[in-house]
Amino acid sequence: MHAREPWLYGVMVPIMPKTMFRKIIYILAALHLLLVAAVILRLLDNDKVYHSLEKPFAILTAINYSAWRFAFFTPDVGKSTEVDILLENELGKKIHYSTLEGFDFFTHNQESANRFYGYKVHAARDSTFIDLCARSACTYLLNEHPGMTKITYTMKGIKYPDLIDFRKGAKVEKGTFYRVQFGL
Amino acid sequence: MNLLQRGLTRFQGFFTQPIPVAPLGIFRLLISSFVLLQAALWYPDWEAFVGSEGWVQWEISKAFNHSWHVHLQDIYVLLRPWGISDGQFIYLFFGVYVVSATGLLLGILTRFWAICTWACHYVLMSSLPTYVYGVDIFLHISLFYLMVMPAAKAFSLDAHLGWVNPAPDWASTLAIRVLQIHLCLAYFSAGYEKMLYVNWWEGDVLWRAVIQPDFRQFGVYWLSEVPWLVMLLSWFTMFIETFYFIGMWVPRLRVFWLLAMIGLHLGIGLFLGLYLFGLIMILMSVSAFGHDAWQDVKSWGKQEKRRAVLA
Repeated sequence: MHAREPWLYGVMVPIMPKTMFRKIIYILAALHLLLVAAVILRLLDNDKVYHSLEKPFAILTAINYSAWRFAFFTPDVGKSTEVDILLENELGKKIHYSTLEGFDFFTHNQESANRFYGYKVHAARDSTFIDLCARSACTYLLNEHPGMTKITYTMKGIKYPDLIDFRKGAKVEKGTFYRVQFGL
Repeated sequence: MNLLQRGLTRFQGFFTQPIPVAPLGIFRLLISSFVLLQAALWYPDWEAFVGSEGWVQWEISKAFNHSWHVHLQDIYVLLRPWGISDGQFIYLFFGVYVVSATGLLLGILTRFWAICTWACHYVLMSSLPTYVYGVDIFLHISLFYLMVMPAAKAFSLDAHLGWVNPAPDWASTLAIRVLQIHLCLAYFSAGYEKMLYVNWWEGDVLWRAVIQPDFRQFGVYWLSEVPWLVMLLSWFTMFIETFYFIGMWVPRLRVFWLLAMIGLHLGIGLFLGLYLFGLIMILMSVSAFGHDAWQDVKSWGKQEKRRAVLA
């Protein structure tokens, strides 16, 4: 015999009637979907509303991403951030890693490489994070290569030409916006 | 009964009338299998990502997030008195995550394992905010739904052993409807937001995405010779995403829309290298609308037979 009722019935039935429990679940589901819709349709983008709801939204995002906007690949993916790392030792031996040449130096598969893309974007969001991430990455690589004594960590902003400019012969634009060097 | 009353009755029925529970079982099987696949791909780089001395050290990843988030370090501090090293701890955590997902896949004590899998995933996302991208967001949404939905009603050991009532009820209907509506909203947002940018209408975003080293999988510079193709693909993307909420509810369109969505995400996987992202989007759409689409296909067969008999 299958006599079990939906989840929480066992806990809630002694406290409230079944119909009330059912109503509460429906109300919660409606509120959840309304919130998802309101965030997506930018109904809560007002500065005042946003600031007053910042913490509840952060908590909801941690739980179920109901306060999240799904706007992937917008507005522009024409810019990227690349990491260039140069390890050196006293004998002049050099090891060069660049994300522009792939992620093979650190990742075992494409999926891990995709995650490193997120790292580059997040790390570049402000100067404190760049600095912290650079120090962390340099420590990691120096531990991985015990013979090396000097490391240079460079981050470059790269802009790719749009379709029309590319056809006219426009090139990829590169510019260094962060550079740090550590020695042992 | 007037039009308003009829509309209201249909609206109520949409959320309350029992419908087959198979989509819930399919959703559970697909998402838990996905968790296991993702974990297997993550394993070789686990220490570099998650380790206390990985690419982003624990102290720094903790600073990236809200102070109230539960970080791996917070759990490790509780276990350290038992003599567990941080290196052992991250593999212990990996083990718990995999065991939880396996329990969820088998559907035994489903609710318990769903909560454990969601909790592990939450801790991972809180601990690695720098590595989170779309695939994690949709996986987290799915795991949350598996935690609160009656996901053990179909294709589970719980149902097989009689621990869970497999009969459709209001809760299973509501669960399936919420998942379907959430996906419609997500796709509408993804498509509509793209439509706001002229770069998408011109095909530029797609072009720049496929030539970026992060995403570039093949030599695609030849696309610059056929700009109309890039533009057409852009329009196709915006169209099927924005109007997903219509296509998936019209029985005559549903199968084609689902196939178009699968095609789109296969393209994202193959041409941008976002294999897991493409896969989870396919799995979510198949879970939410695959059963209905399959019923549509079966009903086509019946209609053909009826026509043959009439002829």
